[in-house]
Amino acid sequence: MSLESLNDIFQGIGTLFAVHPKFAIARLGLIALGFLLMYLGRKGVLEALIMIPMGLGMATVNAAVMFFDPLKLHGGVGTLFIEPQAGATTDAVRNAADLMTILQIDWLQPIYTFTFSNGLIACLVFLGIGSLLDIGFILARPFTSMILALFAELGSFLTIPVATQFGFTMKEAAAIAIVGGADGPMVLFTSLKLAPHLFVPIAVVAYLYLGLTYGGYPYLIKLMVPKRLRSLPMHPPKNQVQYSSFEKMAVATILCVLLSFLLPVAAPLIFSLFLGIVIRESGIKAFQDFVGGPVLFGSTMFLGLMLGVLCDANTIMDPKVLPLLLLGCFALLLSGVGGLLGGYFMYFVSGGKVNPVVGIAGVSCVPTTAKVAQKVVSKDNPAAVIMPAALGANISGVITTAIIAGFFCSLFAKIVK
Amino acid sequence: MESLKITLTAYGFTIVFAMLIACLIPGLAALIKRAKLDQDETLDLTVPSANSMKEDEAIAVAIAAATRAQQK
Repeated sequence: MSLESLNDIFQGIGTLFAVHPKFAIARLGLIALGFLLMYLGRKGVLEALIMIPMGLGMATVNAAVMFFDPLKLHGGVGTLFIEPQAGATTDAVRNAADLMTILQIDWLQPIYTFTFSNGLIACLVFLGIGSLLDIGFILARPFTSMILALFAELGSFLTIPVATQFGFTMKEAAAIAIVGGADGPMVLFTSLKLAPHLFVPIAVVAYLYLGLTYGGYPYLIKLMVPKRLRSLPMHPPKNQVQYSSFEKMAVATILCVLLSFLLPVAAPLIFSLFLGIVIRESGIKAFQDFVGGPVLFGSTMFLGLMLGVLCDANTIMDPKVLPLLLLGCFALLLSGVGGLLGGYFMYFVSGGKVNPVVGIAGVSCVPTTAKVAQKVVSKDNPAAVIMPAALGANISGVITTAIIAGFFCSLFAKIVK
Repeated sequence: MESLKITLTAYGFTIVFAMLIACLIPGLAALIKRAKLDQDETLDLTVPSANSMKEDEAIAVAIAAATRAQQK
């Protein structure tokens, strides 16, 4: 049997020698990275819900490369998983034909085309997240929560001028900067609106880093906040009014309509989030179980899987991805620093009643950053409970990121470049 | 420079907007509290209401009584 026939039988290995060595190395590196992400997810260092399906998808898609390229986009090699570039030409007739061909071949293409690339999966994740949120936390401390969230948006803004220095247009820079809001669905949505050609790398970078916040932010907190302040207990506000679920539902309903009035661009996400909150407070247990279970976990699993299979060597080796990796990291780091500065600001304004660590929860990666804040504080003072305040800041972070996404999509969409 | 200017303008707008919402939330909550929306008993919306069940029961009893009378 000749070497060529062996290459044809074991195409996953054969394709390693058929392409440029840097792509072969990238494929092997991504397989190893997939294993590492799964390991770190399973150990609890990174967010397991995203990292386990993402790691397996990443490792498998880079192994399953074969001599197959129906759209002639990747030099004769491809997979049977997904083709994100199908339908991305300027020729509408060709796009329709390409897309139909790929939909009939690649098994995950229907999920990508009909849920991921139109933002539906982002809305479903938001719907599920909404069903976990208690709006009572923000009703208890509306100003503190909103101020912390505003500080924690520092990365979403200051990354724009930095990204333009890297040669990105204003629209692209805004789409990258929203990674600093640390809100996955909002990142997907904004990049689709402002820079659809960068949608795949931005989405991959954003979720990769959102997973990393789980592991990285505790070190940032320890670096910026001394132990004495980290162990500061927080007490519920005096004269705190208790709201019934009916009242919370009414507040959420009016807020949803009002925010949609003001920011129609972000209305699908705002609606999805508040629908989740309303279902939580509605008393309809069957809906609560459905949205908080199958919808949330199903969409999160497919989101992780999509992100993993999109991490093929062709996408990652795109020359625009390296600056995206740097800028995404910069945006999230800046937002974390901003959030902790906000925590210090509220600590001084309140006369020492607010634990500065709560500021990190203004970074709206619900509920990860709130959990991170409580975890760090509990290590230093097991009796200190900051979770309610952290969740208030977390929910406000979602609202401020929605406002920013709305502003970006309206303001920057009008800029030609 | 231009991008920094646009960015800071957008940040300014966001701050004003977010603070307006922060002011609105407690006001809205207070208004809803005053409206006393949840004075009625809490209903489980997934099953027929207590009233309709009582009505169904009454109708069933009436039909049973009428049938028994007819048989006699």
